[in-house]
Amino acid sequence: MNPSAPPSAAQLAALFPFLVAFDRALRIVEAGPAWNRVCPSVATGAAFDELFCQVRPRVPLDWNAMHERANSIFLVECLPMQMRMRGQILAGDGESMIFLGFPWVTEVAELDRYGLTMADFPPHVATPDLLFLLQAKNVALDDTRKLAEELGQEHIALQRSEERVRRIIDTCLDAVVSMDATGTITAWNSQAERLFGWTAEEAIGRPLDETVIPESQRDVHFQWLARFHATSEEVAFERRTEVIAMDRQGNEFPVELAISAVRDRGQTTFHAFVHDIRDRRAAQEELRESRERLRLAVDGANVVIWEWDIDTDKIVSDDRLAIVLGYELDEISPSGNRWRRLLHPDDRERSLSQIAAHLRGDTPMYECEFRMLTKSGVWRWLHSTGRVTARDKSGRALRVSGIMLDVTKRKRYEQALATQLLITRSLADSLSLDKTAAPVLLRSLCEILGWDVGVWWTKQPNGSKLICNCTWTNAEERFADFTEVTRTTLFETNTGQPGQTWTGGTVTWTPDLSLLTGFVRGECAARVGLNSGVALPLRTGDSVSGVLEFFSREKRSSDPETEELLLALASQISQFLERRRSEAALRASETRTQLILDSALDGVISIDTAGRVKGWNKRAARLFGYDAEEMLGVSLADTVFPPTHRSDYLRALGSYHAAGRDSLTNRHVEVRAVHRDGHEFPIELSMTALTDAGEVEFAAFVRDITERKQAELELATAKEAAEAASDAKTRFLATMSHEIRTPLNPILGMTTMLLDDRLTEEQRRYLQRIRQSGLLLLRLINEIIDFSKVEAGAIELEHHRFSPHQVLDHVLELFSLEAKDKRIKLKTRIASNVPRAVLGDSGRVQQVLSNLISNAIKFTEEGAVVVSVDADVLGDGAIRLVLRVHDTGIGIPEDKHESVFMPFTQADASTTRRFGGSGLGLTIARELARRMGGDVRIESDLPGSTFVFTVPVNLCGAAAEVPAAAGTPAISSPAPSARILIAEDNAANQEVVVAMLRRLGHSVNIANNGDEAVAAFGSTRYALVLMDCQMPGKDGFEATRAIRRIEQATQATRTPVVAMTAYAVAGDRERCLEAGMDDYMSKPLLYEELVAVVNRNLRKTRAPAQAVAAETQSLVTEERAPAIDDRVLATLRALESPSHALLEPLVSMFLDKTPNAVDEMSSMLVTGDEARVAHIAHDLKSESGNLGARALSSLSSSMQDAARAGRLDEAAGILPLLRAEADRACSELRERFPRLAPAQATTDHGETR
Amino acid sequence: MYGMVNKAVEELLRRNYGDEAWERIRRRAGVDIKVFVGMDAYPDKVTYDLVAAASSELGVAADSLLEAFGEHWTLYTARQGYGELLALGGSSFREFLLNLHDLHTRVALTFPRLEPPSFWCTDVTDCSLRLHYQSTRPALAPMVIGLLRGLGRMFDTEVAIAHTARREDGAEHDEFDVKFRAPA
Repeated sequence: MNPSAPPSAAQLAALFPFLVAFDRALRIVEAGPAWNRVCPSVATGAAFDELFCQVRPRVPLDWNAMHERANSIFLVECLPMQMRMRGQILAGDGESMIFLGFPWVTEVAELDRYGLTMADFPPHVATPDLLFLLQAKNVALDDTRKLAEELGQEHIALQRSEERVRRIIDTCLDAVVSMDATGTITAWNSQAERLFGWTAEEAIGRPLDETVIPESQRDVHFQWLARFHATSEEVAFERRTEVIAMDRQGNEFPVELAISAVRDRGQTTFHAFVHDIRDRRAAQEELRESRERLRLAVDGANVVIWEWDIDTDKIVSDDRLAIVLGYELDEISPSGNRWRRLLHPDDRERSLSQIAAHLRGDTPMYECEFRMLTKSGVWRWLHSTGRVTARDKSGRALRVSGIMLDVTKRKRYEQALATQLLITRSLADSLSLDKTAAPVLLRSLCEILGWDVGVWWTKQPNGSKLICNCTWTNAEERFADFTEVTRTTLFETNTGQPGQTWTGGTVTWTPDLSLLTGFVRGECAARVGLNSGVALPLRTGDSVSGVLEFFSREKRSSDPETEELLLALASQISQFLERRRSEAALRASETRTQLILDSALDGVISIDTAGRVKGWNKRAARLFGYDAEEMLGVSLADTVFPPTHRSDYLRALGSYHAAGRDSLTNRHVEVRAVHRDGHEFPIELSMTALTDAGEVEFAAFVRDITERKQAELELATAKEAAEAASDAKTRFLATMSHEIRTPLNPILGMTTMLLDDRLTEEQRRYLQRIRQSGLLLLRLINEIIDFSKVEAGAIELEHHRFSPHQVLDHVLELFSLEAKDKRIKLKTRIASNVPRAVLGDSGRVQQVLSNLISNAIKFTEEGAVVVSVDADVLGDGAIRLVLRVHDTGIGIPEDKHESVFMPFTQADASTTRRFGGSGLGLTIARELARRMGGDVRIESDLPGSTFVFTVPVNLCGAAAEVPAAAGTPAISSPAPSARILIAEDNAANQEVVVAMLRRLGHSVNIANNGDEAVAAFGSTRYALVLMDCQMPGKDGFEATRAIRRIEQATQATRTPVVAMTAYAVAGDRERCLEAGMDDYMSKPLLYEELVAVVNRNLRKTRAPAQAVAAETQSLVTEERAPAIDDRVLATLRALESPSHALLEPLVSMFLDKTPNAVDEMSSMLVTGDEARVAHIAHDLKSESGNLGARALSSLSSSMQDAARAGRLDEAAGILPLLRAEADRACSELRERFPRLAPAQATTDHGETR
Repeated sequence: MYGMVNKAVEELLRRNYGDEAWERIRRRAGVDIKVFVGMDAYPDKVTYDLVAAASSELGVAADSLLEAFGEHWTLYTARQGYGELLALGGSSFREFLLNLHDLHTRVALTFPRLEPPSFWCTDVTDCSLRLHYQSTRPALAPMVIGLLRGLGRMFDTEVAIAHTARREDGAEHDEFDVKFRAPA
């Protein structure tokens, strides 16, 4: 290619793949090769001005305008692509112009949008470079943002940290002042403001020296600053120094100063922590002053102030120690060691260990008493207290300060007291001052008082001379000669030391025996080394009866304290001797008393308060086998009481001590005692506390009651036997009543029914006779049983809510037939204030009332029996019901009013024969009424009589909720016929009950035992169950419980269960109700009662049940809801797709499987395979649930639970229900899906007799 | 050296060894730069010191590290830094290598202080080529190997590389024989 030649069209196209050439008509004559790919519209022949529009320069797209602007930068937009093109117009041959441009791209994304690649940009085009730059800019922007963010974070952190530091500094207790290297203040915290009086605003920027440093100190400051600049030496940095500072007013004050220097980027800043120590200084000053004051205060007193420096062992004390100890001040070197050496050897270890404990910090104070040696060789007692006053950082004690007090006098006094106490104790321990006790006492005195030899002189019986009673020495051999001489010497009055004391009655001191002339034993004393002596008088009344004499090897002289002590001792011993003498006299009289006691028939024992035996008579010796000699002083408890009784006895003694009361004294107590030979026997013990001059002693009289106890035991056994016999009688009566009543049941029942049939007059008369005799027999039995209960006090009263109205209705209903038969009118009147509901025993009220009405009817030939009820308000929520039964019968004479209530009595003995009866009815009625807090009495208004029955009852809140069991009208409105299940094992009874119920129009099924009853209940819906309580196998209670469980599992309505029992024992009713029964009839069943009970129980459930529980009943009754919930089926159908049938396969499977499942469950129940039953039930539960067979699902669930828990009886009860429900579900499904398999017959297992 | 390279080093180390390891390496290298600016030029020493410190801190040979950096660079860092621009380099491994030269030339034009290396291809066939690498910086050839690996993964292409001429052995520049097989 010729470089100077213009490029060929092909070359131009290669250089400018986006060129567009157009003619004067603006028709495109050539388009660059890239157009075909990027925008094919741009092609030869197309109109340029239709495809492009001009963006810049803003000139119209016409030939001339463009021609004029050739060589300008053109920005045009390719309209179809909305793509901007950058380029220029190349004016060609005058017939055409060329636009040389490239897509103008400022974002990489645009390349993609226009379908451009790098290859579209020849190297001479800078567009990619621009993109690179743009991208680089973006990256840089990103980085910048990140950096800025980081900076921001750091800034915040810094601000926070600054804020924190500022706060710390502000809350700092010290003033903090910062200064730069030129000495200008740069920071000033709030404490600094307070301390120096300049605000931060004012202080910052000021020269430090002028602001806080007193003029006199400024040189030091400048020198320090200069030295820092010269050497950068860190002087006094971070070490506390005390300097003088100045506040704004020019006040100077001491401060403690710590300075730190911080170098940052070549700049040094000094931070000073300034602590005002004016207070501390003042405190130091005050301390000094107070020490001075203390010093003044203690001056003159014997208080020694000391301070011990532990490291140097130097003790600083004042001169009072020297004074106390008798030294010159310079004689005691101020060292701890010297002090320690002055300590008494006996006290040294104790006082040193106490101070060591305090130094370790074990005790808050050091406090000790010890003796120190005085210069004169005498020991003085000092009381020292101290405390560590300085410790180093590790807690080691550095200094102890304290005071010492001279307590010698106090110590001596204490010692004297202690001595007296010791002597008292020795005296107390010595029973008498006979030959054995006197030396003991003498020895105690010598030892306590520190004498070497002691002598006891007593007056001769004729009173003319003193004779040596006994001697004691602490060194027998050494002083043997002296004691020998003493023993053989007699003293007359006023001779020698003892004689002088005897005469003068005072203490006689001989400080130096050698100086004493005329001392007969002087020579001997000198030889054995005795130097001093003293004699004390022992007095009896006013005269001196003896002398105590002591000798010592030391030269001891009289001092008032010792003398006082000795006199006190002498007097003490004298008193003791006096008492001993009177005791001796007493003992003689005691001997006589003992003789009397010994002849006593009871054991007589006296004991002191510690329980030790003081007296023990012969009888006691015989009782327990111990002699008096053995027992005296011995603990009574440990000897004669068995271990099990000991603590009781000791407790009793203890409580006597504590409170002056106990469980033993002044009464007869029977306890067990132990004889010496080990056998235990009962005793009767009576104790008396004898107080004699404050001393308490107990006298106990003891009697062996073995025989009496034996007699008591025999009596108790006899009583038990009698009670057992009585119990047996009660049981016999209960059993007999049961046995007699059982045959009565069919007799009465059948007779009653026969009477309704067509009979001849004669037959009817016979039957009526049978029935009356039967009723009489029944009443007799009932009365005998009731009477025996009354007699035994075995009547238990109930307390429940009942309606007096209903009770009355119920009773009248029972007697309505009888009254009708006798053509007697039965009238009632109930006062309006009788409440509808009260709390009491409705059964007993009914019984009493029945008895009274029965009597009234019995003794009334014609006329009426009127029953009226009134209520008296008693207050406190209680009322008294007054029930009057008035008859127009024969009446009762007034003198018989009480006797009719006696057992086996009637007003006229002939009536017994005429009317029959046990004669117990009224007795029982009155007793029952009285047990209830009321009474039965007679108001006679001849002819006829009125029995008044009063009974208090409590009111209860609302009149509602009165149990129907208390009685409802029955015969007047018979219940509609119903299906009733009878569970009864006795065939005769079955027949009677069935006949009676059928007569009432009910249909009846019979179960022969509890198991059959449960099975029948499971398969058939009954309106009522009559349940015999005693049946072979599962009894009535168990069967009822099983029925209740089935009901619970199936969520069925509660079916009333009425107990039929021949028991007549209290508590039966409770037992029945507790087992889940609703009502109670006792056999033999009277037709009237049966009717009443059946009616009220049928009505009880039926009325509300029909209204409310229709749905629940629907599980098993005829008018029940569909077995299948169609909504569930609809949902399943909605889930189906044309290709996927869902419902029909499910139903088909269910129909195939369910009957088999039920059959299998049935046989598994027989074989007892609980797990398998539970498994099948589980499957059936979910399968039936899926298809909307809700009841079946629920029954399956109950079945599963029962099987899992192993309650097979319950499961067996559920099975028939489940089977019936399964059949129902299957048949309903078959109706809905007629195409599916034909019905599979299921067997009906719900069969009962 | 381009800040983006240091970024690649930082990212790889943080990703593979954790932030604490990176901080240790950074301190060990005596580098107190906390944030690398991608388009800024840093003294080469920074990169070399970082690699050396990482090598001794982690007990991994410097060459292995460089190779890993190269790969990481291609797959993460460059993609992040250049964004979609990288796609401009070509639509296949081969095309990209052929454009590599222009790419770096444009970078050199735009950022004159960066002194990017030069790459050019000879002996180009459909499945092989010889890549020439010339750089003012020594000892970075292992990074090139990593780059090529990364590119191979980017374009889902199997790559075999032979380092056939080495500058440290006296060659004028480094050369790599590259064989590749694009996906079917």
